[in-house]
Amino acid sequence: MIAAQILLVVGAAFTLVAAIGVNRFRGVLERMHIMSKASTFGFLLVLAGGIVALDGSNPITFLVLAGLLQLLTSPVSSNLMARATYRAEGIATSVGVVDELAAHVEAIEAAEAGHRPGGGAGEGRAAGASAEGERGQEGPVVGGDAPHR
Amino acid sequence: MILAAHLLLLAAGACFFARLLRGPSLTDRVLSVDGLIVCGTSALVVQAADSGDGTYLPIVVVFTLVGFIGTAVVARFIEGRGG
Repeated sequence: MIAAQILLVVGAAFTLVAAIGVNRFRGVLERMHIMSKASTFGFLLVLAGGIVALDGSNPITFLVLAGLLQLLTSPVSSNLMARATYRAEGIATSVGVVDELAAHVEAIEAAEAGHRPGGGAGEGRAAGASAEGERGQEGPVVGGDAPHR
Repeated sequence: MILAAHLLLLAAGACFFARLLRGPSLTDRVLSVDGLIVCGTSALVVQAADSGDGTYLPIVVVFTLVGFIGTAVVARFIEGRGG
């Protein structure tokens, strides 16, 4: 049973790594990054330790089901939270940061503006996005200065 | 070894709780609650593996689902609030 205990301790250590990263990282999206990967991996290692330690089909079924649910729902919830954070607060733009999503979001919000007046747009993104929208008027595609789209 | 795993999970829970109290935005608090759920369910699995008794393992499945649903609902709330 030493293998099960090693798996349990390593999984708990990965959860601790996720917790330290959540405390130490600066931006919201960086904290979400360390949280969605390290804690999922640690949880899966702990579940593997439980599978090795326990016997009988009933506990192993529950552990496998919990692992599958965690694997399926963790990327979805991370994507939802990241999108909501981006649309509500914006990301911290500094030197070297290219916000490739801003033109796309602005095009979608401009298309939705006819149907839903007064849609909430972040104030931090509005100043840069209006200048980019004016530049986008020249080309046939909105945000056409991005060459890889 | 089992005590070491419990202590590591306890330290992780303390770090998550510190971020829950300190977090500047609502996203950080949701993230911390998610981490606390992971710590609690991991502690349940460690306890079950120690005692060889899988009675409490359905709680792990239920907490995983409840954590996902709570995160999705708060994400919708943040998006609808518009900052």
